[in-house]
Amino acid sequence: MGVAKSMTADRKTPFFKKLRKNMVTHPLLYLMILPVLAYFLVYHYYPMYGMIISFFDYVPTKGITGSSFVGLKHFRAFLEDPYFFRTMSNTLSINLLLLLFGFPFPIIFAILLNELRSAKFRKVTQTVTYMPHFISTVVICGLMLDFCKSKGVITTIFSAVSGIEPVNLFSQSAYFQPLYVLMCIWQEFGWDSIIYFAALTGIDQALYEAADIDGAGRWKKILHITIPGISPTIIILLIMRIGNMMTLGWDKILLLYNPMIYEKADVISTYVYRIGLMNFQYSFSTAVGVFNSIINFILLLSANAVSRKVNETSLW
Amino acid sequence: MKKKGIGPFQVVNALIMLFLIFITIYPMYYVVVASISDPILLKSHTGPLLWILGEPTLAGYEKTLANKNLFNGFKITLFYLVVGTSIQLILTSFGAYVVSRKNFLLRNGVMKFMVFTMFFSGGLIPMFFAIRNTGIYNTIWVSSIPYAVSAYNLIIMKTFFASIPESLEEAAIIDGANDFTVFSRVIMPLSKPVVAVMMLYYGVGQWNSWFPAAMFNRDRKIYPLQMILREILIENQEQSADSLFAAVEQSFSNDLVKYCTIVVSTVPILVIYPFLQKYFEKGVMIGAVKG
Amino acid sequence: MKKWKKTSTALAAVLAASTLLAGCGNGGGSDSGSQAGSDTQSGASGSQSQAADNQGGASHQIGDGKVTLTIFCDFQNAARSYYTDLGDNPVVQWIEKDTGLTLEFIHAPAGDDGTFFQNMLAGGDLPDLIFSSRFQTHYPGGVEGAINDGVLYDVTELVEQNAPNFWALCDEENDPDIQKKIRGDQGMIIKFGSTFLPPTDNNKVFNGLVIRQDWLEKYNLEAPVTLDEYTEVLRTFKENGVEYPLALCEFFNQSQFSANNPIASAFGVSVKEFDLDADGNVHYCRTQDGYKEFLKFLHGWAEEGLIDEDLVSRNIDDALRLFQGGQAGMCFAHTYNVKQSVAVGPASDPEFKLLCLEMPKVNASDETHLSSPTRSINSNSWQVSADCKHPEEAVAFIDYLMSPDTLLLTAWGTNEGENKTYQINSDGQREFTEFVTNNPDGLDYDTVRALNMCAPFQIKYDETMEASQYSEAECHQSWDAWGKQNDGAYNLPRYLTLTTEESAELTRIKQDLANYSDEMVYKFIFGQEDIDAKWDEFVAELERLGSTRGEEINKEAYDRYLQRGN
Repeated sequence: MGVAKSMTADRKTPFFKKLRKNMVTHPLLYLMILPVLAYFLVYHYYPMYGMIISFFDYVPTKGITGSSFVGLKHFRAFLEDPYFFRTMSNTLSINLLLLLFGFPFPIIFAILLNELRSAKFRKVTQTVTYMPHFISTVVICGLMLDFCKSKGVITTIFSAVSGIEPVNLFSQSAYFQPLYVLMCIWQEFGWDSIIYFAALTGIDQALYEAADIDGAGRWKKILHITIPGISPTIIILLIMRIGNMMTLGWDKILLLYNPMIYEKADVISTYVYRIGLMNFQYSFSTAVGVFNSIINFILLLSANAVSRKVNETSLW
Repeated sequence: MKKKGIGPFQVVNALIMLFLIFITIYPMYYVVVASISDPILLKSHTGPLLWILGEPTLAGYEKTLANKNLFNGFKITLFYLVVGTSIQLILTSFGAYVVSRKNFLLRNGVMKFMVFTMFFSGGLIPMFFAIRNTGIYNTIWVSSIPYAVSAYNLIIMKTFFASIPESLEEAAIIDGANDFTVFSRVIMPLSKPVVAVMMLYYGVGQWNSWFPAAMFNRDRKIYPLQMILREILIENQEQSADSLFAAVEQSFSNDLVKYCTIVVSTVPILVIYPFLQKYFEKGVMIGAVKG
Repeated sequence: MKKWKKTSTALAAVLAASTLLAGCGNGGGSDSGSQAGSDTQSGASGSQSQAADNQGGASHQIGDGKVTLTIFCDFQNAARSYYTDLGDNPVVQWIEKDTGLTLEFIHAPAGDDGTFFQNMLAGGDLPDLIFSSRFQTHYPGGVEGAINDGVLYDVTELVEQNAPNFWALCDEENDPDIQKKIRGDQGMIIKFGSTFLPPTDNNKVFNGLVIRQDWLEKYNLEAPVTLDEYTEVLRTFKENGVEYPLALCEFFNQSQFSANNPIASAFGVSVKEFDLDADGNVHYCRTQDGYKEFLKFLHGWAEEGLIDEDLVSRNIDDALRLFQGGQAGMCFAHTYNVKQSVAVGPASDPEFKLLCLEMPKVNASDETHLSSPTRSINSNSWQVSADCKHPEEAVAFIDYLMSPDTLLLTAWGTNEGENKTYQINSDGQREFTEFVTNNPDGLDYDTVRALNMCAPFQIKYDETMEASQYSEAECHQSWDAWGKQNDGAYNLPRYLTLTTEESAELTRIKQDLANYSDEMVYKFIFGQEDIDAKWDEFVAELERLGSTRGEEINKEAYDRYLQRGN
């Protein structure tokens, strides 16, 4: 049996010998992974040399070889930038809010939807809630700006509830982050919940039947059957979400913010966009990108390691 | 399962869902209503739009659909959708299957190799060279082959594959199945829900894809639908800036066209969802597992 | 897939936003605005000959009949639904026949921000001829930088020897500074084939403030000229329940607004630029005392509720919408918007009447100098690439486009075949036929023009056609009002060239200045920061961020500009 053999392979066998043996016993696996590896090599690893422009003062027409090497200049410029701290803390706080509220929302939604009796109602809800995902960001942000002006719908409701004088909500820095997070949740929760619907289908219905016989209530079943049933999916998505902390859907921020609320709305990506891309500072933008990627990658590795220790679910 | 009466939980839950429907349907409603409103009234309208302004008109749709390249773009997009999504689906499931195998020696190494690409990329110009050097520059393949596998999707798929009980494969192996037949006869049939999710993710991606065509195609005959719609949209948006002299009457339909292109580009993909929905129903897998 | 989707939407935003930037480089809406108009009325050259008259003989033959030129240029969006590329255009086909050249085309996709162009540059295969503003606006060192880098061909000698039509157009301009405008700091000709405007368009201010004339009459008010009168009018509007007396928009990123500096120019400053003064010195506007006055003044309006905080999340179109919908009494507009408002306004209020206002001033006799009038020779121009195998033919071809006959041809069409595009009216002027103005197939004017005329090849706009576009009295009034005691004398000329190092340094400085002060400016206006208390600190910070160095760089570039051609 191939399985048994490789599982019990001697730890002391040299790696290449093991590999050759593994290739002989499972040639099809290697054959199947080959095109995938080739794809990543050609379209991801080969272009990756582009990152080295962060160490140059890159001029597109001169190419990398024609541009001058400047070492860590661009990285240093970013870290020493007077706005580094502010944009970094905004990036992290918006991401933390999204993680705290945006991440669980689709899970809760999927579970609650799963509890609905009527299949038709369930389907309609699914279909409708995933629609905002498809409306272009420009339209969504346009509506949002409109609703938050001093006479907008959201402002009116907010002011009625809180008793605060109605003002343009996007002129007050304090409101930006909650509004942004709410908008993101609203636009994406339906779409994001699809993967959990798929995960829910994998739960063995017999478990619920057994629980019914034991007289377990609804909450008990959700807590002890439903959630554990989809937890591998939740954990994997959470790990990947954490590995994305430094990047944001900043195109939306770009459409929503204005100088008056930079204080809370300006994130790394929007800031770099203003000073880098808009002015063709390729090297600087790339340096910031590389910096973000490294932080993201470290976060992902840590999250993965913690998860592997705690609950044995991990990327590898 | 026992049938219970409608309890307070069911009522509250249903109300929550109704609320969510109410707040999520508005943007779509807004777009549709705006797309058939009187363009002159729409131009000067501010505040939330509750109902069609003025006489309903199809002028925006006429203008959008009159484009002679639209049909060709649609054909290209269908190609993207069918061929592109297939390539993506096949390669992703191959990859996900192999790295989910405990008896694949390199699985951790390969996983790291792929995850690394989620974070580091060389940017547009090196990509341009990669595409040109592999001979697919200015071909219909620019939207599928360079984006054949998303590491993110592969990980999701792998998570599902890994959760399938090993006992099932062992049974198949005893029956003489090799690694590929385990994949095609055991794993894939048991993974319909996640395959449906992947079809949705990749399919929507292909449907909305315009950027590779914009960057890596020179030949306008192989522009996909989204690219054509983008051009229609931009043509209409830029009219005021681009040609100061356009007759004003025509400039009114700009806003309409904006909303019409959204409807035209969104509705077909929305229609697909209900077909995939049946794979998300409870107990889909159970029969297979037990059988 | 998800990741890729995110990236692509992010890029889409980048594309969208930098299109704005490109517009900005062109001097806002006014410049690109008048582009589509077109061609020269034959007044100057006296040639009313129909295009068809030129057809005999091979007098326009360029090269030996075997020359092929690849061309990167605009392709009208309206034509994209009908033609594969510009080569399908009848005017282009006519020109190919006339010159014996074979023309091949490459176009950027609609809405591209220059990424396509960037790829083309980086990819290393350049077309023979390139029509673009990007060398001028984005290439380090400008066109001359690209020539020195071996990307472009230096056409100076060829143009000096053999471009009679180009020099004729230059002479017609009657501009003593013409040599400075067409040449770079090193004396090379960098604006060969740049757009020329007819006298009707040239030097007009296309942007300014508009007001509801019917409301002025209703409340017995005079059209305001001085700032005090403006305040008075807005106050009256407010008292009478006008929701937004003056609907302003976010004014730093709305290029139309910031390029014309209404209100700020009354205090002798722009809203965000480096400006000249009467003595030719360069100043950064936000360190000037005038700017403090400007902020205090706007703060006063904000306190009174004459302008509102919503303006920060409003773009220029949103503001117009409020005006056209009857909620705002005054707003900022382009002449095109005037035309549009005259048509749209009455839908919400049958009484709707609009009046264009003079730029506000402190005293009625003051002059303001910070608008952006249109002008001949702008950042667009035709470039010959260094890879071009037939530079002589390429230069001859562009010069051919500038000949009086070709200018008429590209503006009015070939007039061949069954569908005539123009006719001569009783005044002896050309005018479009019904086929163009009221197309039997229901095609709109823009599309008919894109299909039958050839704007991408038009180098000078046609006077007759321009005039017919703005027939409304309100449009003519807009130029009169906005150009009254108002010009662009204190703007730095758009023809400056920075060296690679200067350009990098200045970009960085400008960005630092904007990052810090955009935020502060709004806080001052809306009272979140106290102007009097914080002003000195504000100026000191700007100086620390390099405003003085920025002034120096601009001054040096300006001096080099003044030295050109001497």
